[in-house]
Parts: sequence; C-alpha cells; structure tokens
Amino acid sequence: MARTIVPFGPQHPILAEPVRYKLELEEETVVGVDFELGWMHRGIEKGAEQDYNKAIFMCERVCGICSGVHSMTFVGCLEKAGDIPVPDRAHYLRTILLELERIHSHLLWVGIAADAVGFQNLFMLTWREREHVVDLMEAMTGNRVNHSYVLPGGVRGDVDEKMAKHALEVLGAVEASAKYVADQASHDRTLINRLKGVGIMDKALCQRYGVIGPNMRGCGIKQDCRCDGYEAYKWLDFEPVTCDGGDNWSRVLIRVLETFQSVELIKKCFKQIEPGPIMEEFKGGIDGEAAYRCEAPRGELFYFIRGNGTKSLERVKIRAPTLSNLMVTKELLLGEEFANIPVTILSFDPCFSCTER
Amino acid sequence: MAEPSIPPKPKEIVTRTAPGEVYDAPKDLDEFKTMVKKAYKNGWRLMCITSIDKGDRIELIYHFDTQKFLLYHIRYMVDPDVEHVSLVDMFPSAFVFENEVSELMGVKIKGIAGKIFLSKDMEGMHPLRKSFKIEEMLVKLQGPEEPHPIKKATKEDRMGMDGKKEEDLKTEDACDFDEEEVAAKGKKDKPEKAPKKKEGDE
Amino acid sequence: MLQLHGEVIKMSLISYSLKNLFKKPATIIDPYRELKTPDRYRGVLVLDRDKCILCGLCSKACPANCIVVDRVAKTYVYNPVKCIACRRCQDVCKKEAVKIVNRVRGPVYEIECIQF
Repeated sequence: MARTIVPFGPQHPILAEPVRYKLELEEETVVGVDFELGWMHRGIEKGAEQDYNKAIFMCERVCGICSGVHSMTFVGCLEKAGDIPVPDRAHYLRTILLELERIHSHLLWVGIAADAVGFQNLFMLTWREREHVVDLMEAMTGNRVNHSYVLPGGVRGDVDEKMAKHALEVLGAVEASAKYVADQASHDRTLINRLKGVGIMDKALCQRYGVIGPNMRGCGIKQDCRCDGYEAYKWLDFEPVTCDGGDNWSRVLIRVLETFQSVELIKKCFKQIEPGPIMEEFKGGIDGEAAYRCEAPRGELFYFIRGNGTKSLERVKIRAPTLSNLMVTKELLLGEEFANIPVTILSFDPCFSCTER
Repeated sequence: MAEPSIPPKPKEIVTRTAPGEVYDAPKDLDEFKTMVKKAYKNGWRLMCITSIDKGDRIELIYHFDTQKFLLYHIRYMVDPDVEHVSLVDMFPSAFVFENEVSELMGVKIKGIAGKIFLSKDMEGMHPLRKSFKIEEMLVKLQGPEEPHPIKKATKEDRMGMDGKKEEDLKTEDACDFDEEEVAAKGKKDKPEKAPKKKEGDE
Repeated sequence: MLQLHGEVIKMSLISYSLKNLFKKPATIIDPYRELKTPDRYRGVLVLDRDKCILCGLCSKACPANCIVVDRVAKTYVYNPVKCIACRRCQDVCKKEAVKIVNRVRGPVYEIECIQF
C-alpha cells in the first residue's frame, strides 16, 4: 500500500508554539512518527551566566504562561545554595502566587483544547473567567505576566486585608461559574465522542517513558512534586488528585479538578497566614551548587545551578516538563487515525518555549 | 592574604543537599554502568543530564528521581574526544537529553546524531562552551549596534501618577546643575534617613 | 465593575439580549478612553533631578542596559523601549531619585532616548 508523509507543520491553527511532526500515513492510519524542534531556541542558559540578580529576570522570561514558577524555582535554588533564610509570611505569599498561576494556566488550556475540537463558545467562556484571575495577579504584583515578585530572601509587595477580601470574593465567583460551565460541558455529546477512548496511555507506558505532570495523574499514578513540602505546602495538608482512564478525556478532567483544588488551597492560605515581615535582604555571593524542583502547571520543573563564590553564576541548567513528555508521543500516536492527532498532541499541554528556552 | 605573584587557590565547591539527597562519583566506566543498572532495576526515573565545561574535560551529572521524595545524582567526568556510552536502551527519554548535551556542549555519544536545537549554519559550533562568545557572533551577523537619537525630557515625561509631582518640578532646562549645591543639600538631608525596609507600595 | 457569569444566567434569553442591545461596547480604545491600571502597575522611569547625584548605581544594576549616566558631561539618558520595568533601579537608589510610576507606555514610530 502506498504511504504518504504529511507534516503537522511548524504553523498550525492549533499550536501555540511551533514544532514539526512528520507523520507517515497509510490510508488515514499513522504508521511512523518523527519530530523536530529548534524554532524557539534563544540561548537563555548561556545568557543567565551573569550576576544572579540580573539572571532572575532572564529566567522569568523563558515562558509566558508559567513565568512565576520559573522565577520561583530559580530563587529556590539560590536560597538552597546560599543558605538564605526566608520569613514565613513570604512562603505563604509565594504559594498564593503559584496557585493563582496554576488556575490561569489550566483555564487557558481548557479554552485552547475546546477550540481545537471546534467548541468555540467554551473557549470564550473560560477565557472570560481567566481575565478575573489575571487581574488579581496584576493587583498583587504589578504585571499580568513576568511578575518580578519573588526575590532571594522574600517577596516584594504585601497583601493587606482589603486585597485579601477582594481576592476571596473574586475567586468564589470564578469557582461558581467554572463549576456551571464544567457541568454543562461534561454532558455534551460531541465532546465526549471526540475525546473519550482516544490516545489511551497505560501505567507501564507512563513509567517507561518518564511522563510527568497531570498526564501521569490522569492514568492513576499518585505522584506530585508538591508532596516534597517546599514553600508553604508542608503546612497545608496536600494530597494529589488522580483520575482513571488515561485517555484524552481524563486528561481534560484532571485539569478541571486541579483548578478547584487550587482554589481550596488559596482559601486555606488566607486563613493560616499571620502578620510579619516579608523580606530579609541578601547581598552576597553564591558559593555552592544545588538542585531544586517545583510543580509547574505542566509537570515537574527542574533547575540546577552552580556558583563559584562571587555574584556571577557558573552554570544554570533548566529542564522544562515538556522535554520529558515529548518522547512518549513516538509510541502513543502509532495506530491512531489522522484526525485525532492534533488533539492528542495538545492534550499533553505542550509548551515549546519552555522546552527550548 | 595571597601575594600578588602566587595565583589564589580555586575555591572548593560546596554541595547543598536536602536530607537524603545523595551525590555519587564513580571512578571508571564499569562502576558507572553498575550504578546506572541499579537505578534501572529499582524503577527510578531519569530527570535530566547536566553538562559543565571544565576546560579540557567535561563534567556530566545524571539526575534520578527515586519516587520517595529523594533525588539521586551521579557525577562523571568525560573527555570530549572519546565516545561515551548511551542510556537509551534502559531509559528511552534519555534520547532528547543526550541530543542536547551532544549538540550544545560537544560530547560524543554512541548512536546520537546531535541535531535538535541549532540551525544548519551553526553546525560545528558548541555554544555552551566557555570559549564561545555571544557578542562576537552577533556583531559578525548583524553589525554593530547603532546609537538612537536623544531628545530632552518634556514635562509629560517627568510626571508621575501620584499627583504631587506637578508642583515639585523645575522648568524645562533642569539639566544644568551645580554639583556643590547638590552635595551641600545632601549633607543637610543626612540626619533624616529614609526607613530601610520598604513594603513596596508606591 | 465585575460582570460575573453566575449573576447573568438567571435571566431568560430574550431579556438578556434586549439588555445587551442598549449597552456600550466593552472594548477600550487607548488613547481615546483611559486604561485603568492598578496602583502597583510598573510603567516608566521618572527621575527627580534635584535628588540625583549621578552615582551610576542604577546603570550598573539594570539588566537591560537602558540607563547611561555620564558624570563628566552630567547627563542621564534613558531608553524607554528597552526597559523591562523590573524596578531594580528603584531598589538600588539610595537617594530615592529614581521611581517607576504607574503610567502606560504608548506605541511609538521610532526609538528615541530621553535625557533627563
């Protein structure tokens, strides 16, 4: 039988960032997969080998959607390598920022996934709720993305009573309308037919290829970096959420469930937070090497830095979650029908600007 | 205090770990293979491969996740001209990491082509090495940066949004000033120091 | 004004469409209508020329290299297009002469540096 090679090219209406897949088809069924990267490489690892105060702003701009967690992991590495103390209130404020970012990232992804399937109204509804969350982040830090809020030794701005009350009101309203939209969408026949039973991944495949993040939790494996107990999670009684099934539908469902869990975590933070200082300034050199990891909205983010005693860093190594998740598509996409390929690739929530820094 | 003729001793790098985190350093290839096989049998996950340039040798660090909230690292020194062993049979996700290390740092690994991030006209160059300078390459490709025209600040440019700036502003030619006058003013203001820790609100 | 989805859905379709028929459009076209930004928004740099002693600390601390201070010629030149509004200059200045204020930068046709 004749075979054709079709590109799922660098430019596609579904893809937010460019990647190139070469799919070998035999009459609508995929028999070979190959991918190419390199369209978003900017050389940030080399550019961050300078004064660590300036490198924070460089590492923040690796990705636009998850920029808070990149700066948080870099500062966490610096604090571990330099033994820098941080006050308790700063831990709570950082956790609030990270959870707000997770909510906005998952709402964005649900919108894009709905648009890829053809359900444009759901895309507009989720992005309208997302605007309220991003306005909250702007009121707290000063900017919608690239917050420049986390510095070694603490955070940069305080949250007073009025802001906390307003935030809880807005989050309550966002949660109520998100629940209504999720209820309505889960009964939609088109969505269920399109997403259920497609792209099934079992536990053995996950563990062999080292898949991380909500994709792994959608197969039933109960693992999360937040169980490590970094920042304020050790005081919050955190348990990861899992879903059974391993297909595209469970990967959508688990992100919706994680959004509701994040709102509960923020409410707990605001109850437990106590007044105190938010910053202990640190002005010194970094002497040592350390590795640190955080849970980004897409999986586990890993940083490794080494300093030689001065303010300049010798090596900064960034490993984004999508780099680990890419290889599994070589085996998962074999045997699928051609029309299901874009949605299956999108269900892993790929962020190629993080991958290729 | 070191004398100027003797170069100072290089500082030893301190490794900071969480409780339970382990850094292993095998001495030769057989010990390295034993450690990797132990990680494979226990079902640990390969997280990342880091490469650091140390002059004539390259240091590779393999990071594993033991899934009990502990990290395990293997540190191994490699000669850039000698071919190194690949872990793709045991850990399929190492394909992407080894491609990156081979392309950006120049380590030779068996069976890996090393073509993932850089474009075709940068073949043969290894950007993460210390001998590679970014500014020189940019100047070669784009030419030196041209200076931009300068204009004097207008009243709008100097206005802040808190409303009180309007009265405090001087006239348009505020660029000539007397340094002694400002220094004398600074000495007068010295006793009232601004509070050191600011909350960040404007 | 928060328009929450949960409030609106209690109406029927006809009354909701009639209500929206007589509303103003939600788009804000800058500069005809002012963009509302919160208090902490980081916009442009503003220099108080009386307090500045031209020490050059802000120029060394800037990650984008957008400030050029010349002690001999007594000039302070700022490039507003390169600036990333990270507020490091305000953190480092000891005389509180440099501030990042809450003003939105508009689009420009060509890049011009400002001399304070």
